[in-house]
Amino acid sequence: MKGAIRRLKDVEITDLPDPALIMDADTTEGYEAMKL
Amino acid sequence: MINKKIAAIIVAEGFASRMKAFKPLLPMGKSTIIETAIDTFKSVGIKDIIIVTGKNVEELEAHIEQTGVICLRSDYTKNKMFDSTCLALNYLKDKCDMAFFTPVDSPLFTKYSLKQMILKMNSLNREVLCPCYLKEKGHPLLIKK
Repeated sequence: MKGAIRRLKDVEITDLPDPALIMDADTTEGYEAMKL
Repeated sequence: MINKKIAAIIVAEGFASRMKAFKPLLPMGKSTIIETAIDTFKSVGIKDIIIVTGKNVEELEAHIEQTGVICLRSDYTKNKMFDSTCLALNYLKDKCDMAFFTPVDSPLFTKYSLKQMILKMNSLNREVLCPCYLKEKGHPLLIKK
């Protein structure tokens, strides 16, 4: 999906102080990190 | 906070081949991954929340039937996430001014982030707003009509 984001056009990027924005449960490790 | 009609799309149709588990119903805090995302969207006043379902559709729809969301069924054996997203966007056409989009496995975004994105999108002449943390792009996206 992150590859798909890179292909989008007319995209504005906004910086936010929220690490959860880049966390996902795509793997067991990612899921466990989210539960911490 | 919200003076435009805003919807949200959560795509939850996939195989989860790497996770080896049905991600929408995995525990997250006191609820599940999908309920966490739904509750955060609701916390900023979003009422139209579209869940694109596929695998384990009956189990998932039963789990969230009390939340008031709208479920759209996607043929997960044929469709990819892009197709499921198009299904939801087509459903929302003429129903909202903008829509958040996130895959179900990225549920921990905050109410603060959603509010900041809505405020920024209202002042932008762009079609898509993508949140970023420490230069890494993430979810949810905010897509203008």
